[in-house]
Amino acid sequence: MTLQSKPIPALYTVYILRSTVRHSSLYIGSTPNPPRRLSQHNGLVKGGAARTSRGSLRPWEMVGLVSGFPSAVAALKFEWALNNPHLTLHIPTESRISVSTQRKRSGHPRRPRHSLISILSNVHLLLRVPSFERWPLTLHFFAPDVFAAWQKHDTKTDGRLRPSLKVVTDFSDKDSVEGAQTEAPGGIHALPLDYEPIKEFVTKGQEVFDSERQGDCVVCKKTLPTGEGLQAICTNTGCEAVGHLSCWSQHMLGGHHTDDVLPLNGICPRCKGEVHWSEMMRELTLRTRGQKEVEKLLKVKKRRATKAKTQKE
Amino acid sequence: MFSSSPAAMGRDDSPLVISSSPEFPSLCDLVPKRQKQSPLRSGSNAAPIPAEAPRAFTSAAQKEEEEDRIGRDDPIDDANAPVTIELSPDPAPRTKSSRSRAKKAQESRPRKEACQVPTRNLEDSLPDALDDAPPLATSEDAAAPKKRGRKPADPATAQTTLPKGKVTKPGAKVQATRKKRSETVSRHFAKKGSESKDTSKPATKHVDDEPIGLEPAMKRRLDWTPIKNSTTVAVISDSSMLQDTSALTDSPAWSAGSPKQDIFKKLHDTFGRKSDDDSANTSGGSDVLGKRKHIQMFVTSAPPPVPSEPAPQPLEKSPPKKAPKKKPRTITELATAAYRPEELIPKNQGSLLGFVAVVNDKGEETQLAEGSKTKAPKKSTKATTSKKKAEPQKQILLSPASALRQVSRQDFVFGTSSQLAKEDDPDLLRALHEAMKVSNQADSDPFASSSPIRSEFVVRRKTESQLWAAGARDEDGELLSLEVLDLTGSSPITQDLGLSQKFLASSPPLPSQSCAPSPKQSAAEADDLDDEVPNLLGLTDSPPLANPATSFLSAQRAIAASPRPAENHLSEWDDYMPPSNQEHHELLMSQAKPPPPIPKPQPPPRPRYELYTDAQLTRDVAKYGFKPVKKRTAMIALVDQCWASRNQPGLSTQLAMSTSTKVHVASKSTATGSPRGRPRKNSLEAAWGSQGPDPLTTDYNSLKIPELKKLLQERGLKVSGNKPDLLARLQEHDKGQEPPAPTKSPRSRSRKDGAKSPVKSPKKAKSPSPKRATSPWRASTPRRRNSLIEIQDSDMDLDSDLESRISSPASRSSSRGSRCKFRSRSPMDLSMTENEEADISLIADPTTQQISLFGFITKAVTSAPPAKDPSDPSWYEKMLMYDPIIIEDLTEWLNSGELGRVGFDDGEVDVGDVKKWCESKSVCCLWKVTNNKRERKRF
Repeated sequence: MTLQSKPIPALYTVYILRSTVRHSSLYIGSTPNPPRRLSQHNGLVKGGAARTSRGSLRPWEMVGLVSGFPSAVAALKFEWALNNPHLTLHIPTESRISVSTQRKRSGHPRRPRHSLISILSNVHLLLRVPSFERWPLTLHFFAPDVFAAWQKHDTKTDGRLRPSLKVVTDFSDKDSVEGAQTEAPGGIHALPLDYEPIKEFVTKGQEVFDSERQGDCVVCKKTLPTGEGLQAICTNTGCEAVGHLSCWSQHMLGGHHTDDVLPLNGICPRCKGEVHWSEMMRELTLRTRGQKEVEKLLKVKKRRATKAKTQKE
Repeated sequence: MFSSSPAAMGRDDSPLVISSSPEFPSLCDLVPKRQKQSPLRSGSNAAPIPAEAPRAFTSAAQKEEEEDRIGRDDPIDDANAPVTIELSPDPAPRTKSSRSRAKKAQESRPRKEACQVPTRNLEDSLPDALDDAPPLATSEDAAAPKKRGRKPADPATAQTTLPKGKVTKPGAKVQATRKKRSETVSRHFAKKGSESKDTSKPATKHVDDEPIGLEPAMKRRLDWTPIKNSTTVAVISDSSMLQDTSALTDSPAWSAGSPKQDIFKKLHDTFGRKSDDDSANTSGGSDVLGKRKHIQMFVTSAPPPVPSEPAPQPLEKSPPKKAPKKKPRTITELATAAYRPEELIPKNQGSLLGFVAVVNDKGEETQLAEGSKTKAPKKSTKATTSKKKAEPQKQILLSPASALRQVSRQDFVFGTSSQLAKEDDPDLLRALHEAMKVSNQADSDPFASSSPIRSEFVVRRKTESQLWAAGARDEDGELLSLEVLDLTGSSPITQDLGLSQKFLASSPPLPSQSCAPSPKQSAAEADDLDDEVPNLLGLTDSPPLANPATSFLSAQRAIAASPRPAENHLSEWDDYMPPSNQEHHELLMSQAKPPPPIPKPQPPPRPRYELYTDAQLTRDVAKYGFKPVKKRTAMIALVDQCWASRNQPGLSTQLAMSTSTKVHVASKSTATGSPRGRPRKNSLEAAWGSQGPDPLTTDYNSLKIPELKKLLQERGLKVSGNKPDLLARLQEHDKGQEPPAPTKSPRSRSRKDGAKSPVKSPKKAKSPSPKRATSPWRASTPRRRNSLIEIQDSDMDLDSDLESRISSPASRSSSRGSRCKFRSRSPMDLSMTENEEADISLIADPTTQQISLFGFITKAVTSAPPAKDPSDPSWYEKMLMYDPIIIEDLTEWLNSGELGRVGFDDGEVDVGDVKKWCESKSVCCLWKVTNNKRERKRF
């Protein structure tokens, strides 16, 4: 592939922005850094969207977002689909909710106006659509009323989300972020913007492969030559089970051959702990493609080692 | 400033100068007035004073001090202070002086400058006068000389310092001699280059300058303006396909060229009032700036009107102040030039009207001869009036049509992608087209003339879906007429189909159905017909509206009244009909009436799909080659669209393969017993689903038959008799008839070729059966939309076309995908509004074949050996790592033998299928090309 590949981003989100002044004003965007983006929307930092530039609607708040996109492209695709639920081909016609009733001057169908219900219902729909169903996404809600609306819609809708899809709520006040330290930030400020959460995991991987302790494939039991092929390591702390990427995927998809290509999660054959495929891939891509990020992470780790430890403790 | 003023003089020519000459005294008057104003200003400006005030208030002391400092400066300041102010504002130095000097000076100076501009000129010519004037000003300023003296003194000192040091800014602040120099320099610059400033300066300046004798500059300016105008005019004339008489007249006037002065004189004459007004304004008005602006406006206005002078737009010229607006007009004119002539030129309309009138007369005559109804003539008159109204629209349409004709002259091969794909040699298609053109050229003229009329019908009557058909017509200039023919012929086709079925005796009930509904429904379903075929509608519904072809009306009336019942009896008349048809054709050809007869063919009765049972609908859907649709409304919409698309544009396609194909068709037709033969465009689709409709269409493809039928319809039963004649007879008639109506035939043939070729070998072609099966219906949906419009270069990769079409709209990026596709799609989208949902739904559900294909793809992807280089992972590893997958690359990889390795032996995978596979597997996929048509370099 001629394209330069990047490691899976630490965070990439598609968020729902709502005006705190007028709740009917909504905006959908995507960003790898929600706090920064929110400050942009609120005019605190340069670069906000024109649609959110009206002073009378500020400040804005992120009432919910979808995180876990494995690439910027994926996030942008999802964002576009969510912004254009009347057009996107990811939604089959039978289940399409938003239908355009007007047309632009250009003849293209006009986007139906967003409402909280329409957005939530389309999020619900898109998370069930084949195109996005198996993406390692997580749904976050930061406003109780929005989450209530979501729950109401979820119960009312026929379609069921994939059980492994996580829905997280964090209604803590954002102001808490301004506390003396970054500890206990709430809302979007609690989202990890870097690889800090998997720092330990990354460190383990670095150590294992630097010392060539990978051993045999945990699945196929064949020897894993150093530096050859893609070798993934168990995400669970203390488990150094390493295996071929394809072996892991086969194992996680289940021995029986399903039509699925992408695993979601599974059990490590060695430690019997649950393994999330996206997490494993995040480490793998970081190790194979993101040495810069790894170095940065490790440096940061040295500086913040004490802080991180204190946080965990 | 100065430089600009002479330039302006040059432009204005003698008349303006003359007008300005009386202004001289006024200007002189203005100068002292302004000097008076300046002290007032200085006095009023209290704030600026304090800055320099401490020095200034003791005027005598300051002067002494200044004298002590610099001997020269003091006298200069005293005497020349006002002069310096005036002179210093020379064009270039203004800003500098204003910046350097005190705010007061700035305020006073610009005003002075503006007012004193004429004085400057005077000064230039007579420096002595300048010297004299300034002392006067100083004397006048005696009350507040200090302020001024100080303010000017500062610049004066600066000036003095400047020459001494010679380091600081030279030009702006120089003594009187240098000032003069700078002025001269500025003039030169102005003469040569400064055009922009010219407008800003009034005619009064010109008056002053004239004595100086800057004539060469004058000429240049003159040259400039006319050149611009001439260029614009020429462009307009070029751009417009139909050159305006006005433009032509203009161009010669310009070409006369040397008499540019004459032109200007004319302009002045026309605008003489204006010039007078200007002079009056300048003399009377105290605000020079405002006057100047007005003057400028006039000056600028003068040149633009010149082009317009000739004939067409005197009104526009008259308003002098519209000049700035006219400039934009020139831009718009270029764009709209092609359209203007049509509207403006009465001659063309007259010609068209005359032609139409002839047609109408003939139509009336025909009606009378037919002895149809007394009402007919009345209607014809109404039709004529309506036609006249409609004509401008026709002309509008014609211009693009002509452009389209040019496009058609290019080597485009028309046909659906599948057709093109199947016929590997574009040469064959081209050869066919050429042959068609050759045969058609002789007869093409009458049809071409008729085409506009029909286009008008289309435009009027087609409001919604029919606009699409109109657009389709526009694509090929030739096609326009053919399409009309198609519309007319469409009705006979359906009937013919029914007849053919009877002939085949494959299914007796089917023919009965087809035939029976037509007579019954003809009246009742008029509405449906309207929707389907605008022409038909126009004919049937509103005879008065039907503009050109009164004959159409009469024919349709006749059809409505008698012919349809006669249809049932068609079989009886078969023997008689053929000869009669030929005779009619000959008559038509000789009379050049062909256009009216063409539309006559009996409007195809549109089946009321709403009344169909679900089973029937599903059957029809399958007939068109679509996958079964769940929703009844979607099915109805789909079938309706298919039917409409076939009947409207598709007719033309039938002719192409006429002989050989017809035989095949006949054989095929026996096999397929589809009661409704709406096969045309959808032939591709039909080919996928069932080939039955295609043969039927081919039989009737010879649209000439409809013409014959129209003629026959005039006679009534005979037309119906033709229909019962089965394919063979129709073909025979067609063969005999083909020569008369060659123009339409080529188009129809080309389409037929495209349509049939896919039909012949839809599955044989590249793709494996499952792939094709999946792709075909996908492809069909866009094709339906495009049906007529699709035009592809023979050079284009047929495969790529198919792929791109098959792929979802997002597939624009597909590298191979021709841009033509995208272009065609946009119009398609517009037209497709109604059935989009159905189409999408069709696209959404993978077929069984697709599922099996997906299985193979999955297997091929997952079973590929893992890469040994971590930096170059296999496709599956990329997917596992959530890498965005480039669809084209993956497709290429799959087609490079990987699918065969897995056991997939149906050929190659389509890009669209790969995309669907990726999306069905939650694999993030991308097109290789971004929306900007650039290759993606990073994710």
